Amino acid sequence: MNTWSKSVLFPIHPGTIIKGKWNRKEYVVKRIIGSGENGTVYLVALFERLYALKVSLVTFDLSYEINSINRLNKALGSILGFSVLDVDDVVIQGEVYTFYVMPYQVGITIEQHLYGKGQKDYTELFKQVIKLIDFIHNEAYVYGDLKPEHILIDTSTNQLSLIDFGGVTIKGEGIRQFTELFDRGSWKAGNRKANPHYDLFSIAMIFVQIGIGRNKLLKIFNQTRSLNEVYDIIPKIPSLQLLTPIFKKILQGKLLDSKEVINEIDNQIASNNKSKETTSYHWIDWLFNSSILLFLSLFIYFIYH
Amino acid sequence: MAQSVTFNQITLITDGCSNQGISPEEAARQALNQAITTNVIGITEQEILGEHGRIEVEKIALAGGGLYQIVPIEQVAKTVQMVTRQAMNRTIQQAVHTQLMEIMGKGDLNEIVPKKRLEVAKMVDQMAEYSHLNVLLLIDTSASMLNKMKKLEEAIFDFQLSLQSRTGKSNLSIVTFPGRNDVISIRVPWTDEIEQIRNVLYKMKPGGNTPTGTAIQASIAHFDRLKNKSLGVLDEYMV
Repeated sequence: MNTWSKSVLFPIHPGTIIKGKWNRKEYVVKRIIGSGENGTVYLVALFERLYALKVSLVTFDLSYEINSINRLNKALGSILGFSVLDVDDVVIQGEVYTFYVMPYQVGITIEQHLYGKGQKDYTELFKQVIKLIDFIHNEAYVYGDLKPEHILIDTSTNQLSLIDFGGVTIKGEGIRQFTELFDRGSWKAGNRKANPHYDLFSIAMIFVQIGIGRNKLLKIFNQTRSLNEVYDIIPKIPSLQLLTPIFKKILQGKLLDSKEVINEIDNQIASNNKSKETTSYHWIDWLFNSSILLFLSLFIYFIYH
Repeated sequence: MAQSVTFNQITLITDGCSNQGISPEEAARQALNQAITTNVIGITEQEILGEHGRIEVEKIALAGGGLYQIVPIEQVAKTVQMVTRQAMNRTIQQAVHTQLMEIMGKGDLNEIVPKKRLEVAKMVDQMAEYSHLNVLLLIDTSASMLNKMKKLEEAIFDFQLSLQSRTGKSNLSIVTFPGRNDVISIRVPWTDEIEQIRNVLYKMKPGGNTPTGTAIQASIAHFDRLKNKSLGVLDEYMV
C-alpha cells in the first residue's frame, strides 16, 4: 500500500480462473493484452465469450476510471462503444485485487493503421478522432490522457474506439492522468486545467508523432521541448502537409474548440481539391488553345502549299 | 465540505542517505504528529540508489505517513505531482477508513460492495481536487546533486503547473538543504501565487553534507510561519 509501480505483474497466467468475490462469476484468463499506468488488462473468457478484464492494485484509481466510463456512457449512450460489464474483487494468494470487465475491443492502434499511408488517410483519420473527442467535450468532459496507444481502429469497419479512461476529467478541474510527450504542460504551452484545447493539443501531437516518427519527437522533447523545432519539421513530411497549418494553430493555442478544428479541416480539404481542379482546368484550356493554334497553322500551311 | 479540508505535505527529493544530524525517520514521525505527511522521491543514478538509500527512503515515508517513489532524474517532474495527488487521496482514504470503523465496525474498503466503493472513490477524488493544499518541497542540494540541478528546476516548474491547474487553493514553499548558515535555506517563502515563482535554483551550487532529519525538523517549524502569515504578495526570494 505504501508504494505503487508502473506495471505490476500479477500472479495471473493463461489458465488462471478469476472468480469474483461478490458476483461469483468465473473468468478464464487466455492471455495478457497490455499493461498500463494503473493496471494490467487480460483477455478472458466467460461462457465461451471473450472479454477484456482490467486488474489493479490501486483500487482507488480503478474506481475513478470506472466512474468516468459510467458517467460518459450515461451522457453519450453507445457512442463510446465501451462499457463496464462487471466490477468485482478477486482474492489471489491472500491478496485482494479489484477488477472490472469490459467488451473486448478488436482493433489496432491508429499508429499501426497509418503506417505507410498517405496524406488523404492522415487527414481523414485526424478529422474522425477530433469528431469522437468532440462528443466528450459536448458533455463537459475532457479525455486527458490521449496517446496513440489509447485510440484503436477496427480496420474492417473503420470504427474508432478509445481505451483507458483514467485521465477523464470534468472541464475546469486539473487533468488527472497524462503522458508527458502529449501533455500541453510539459511542452510549456499552457497549464493542465481540463479544457477542450488540452485534448486538441494531444491529438495534434499524436499525429505529428505518427508522421515524423516517435524517436524524432522524443529527441526534440528531451533536448529542447521547443515547439518551433516541431513547426520546422512538419511541413517537410508529405503526409502532414495538408494539416500543417491546423497543427500549428492548435499547438500555438489559436484553435481552441473541436468544432472550429473540424471546420478548418473541411476548408483545407476543399481548397486543396479546388486548387487541383483549377490546375486541371488550366491544362485543358491550354490543350484546347494549342490544338486550335496547331489546326490554324496546319490550315495555313496547306493553303500556301 | 471538500473545500474546508486542508492537507500539509513535505515532499523530500533526495539522492542519498542522510549522514548528519538526527534520524530522518524520527523527524518524519514528529512531522506526522503535527499533521504533516512526508513523501519521499529518491533519485537513482544509472538505476543505482544503493540498498541503504532505498531502505532509508522507505522508512521515512512509512514513518511520515506518506508515499515514496524511486526514479531516475528524468522522471522526477512527473513523479512529484503523482506522489502529491496520491498522498492526498491516501490521507482522505485513511480518514474514510476511520469513519467506517466508527459506523460499521470495519474499516477496510475491500469489505464494502464494489458499487458503494465507487461512490466513496468519487467523494475522495472530489475532496482531493477541491481541498486546500500546503506543500513544502524539501530539496537535497548536497554535493552529489551537482549535475541534477537543471532537471530539478524543470521538475519544480512542472509541479507549479499542476498546482495551478487544481481547483482547490494551494500554498507552496521551496526549501533546500544544507543551507549556507542554517540547516535549511528558504528559496521560496510560502506563497499562493504559484505562477510567479521563477528560477528557484538559479546559480545554486550544491555542496556539503546531507542532514536530512534535521532538515525535516526545520521544515516542520517552517509550517508555523504559514499560520502566522497572511498570504498574497510573494516576498522577495532570500538567497
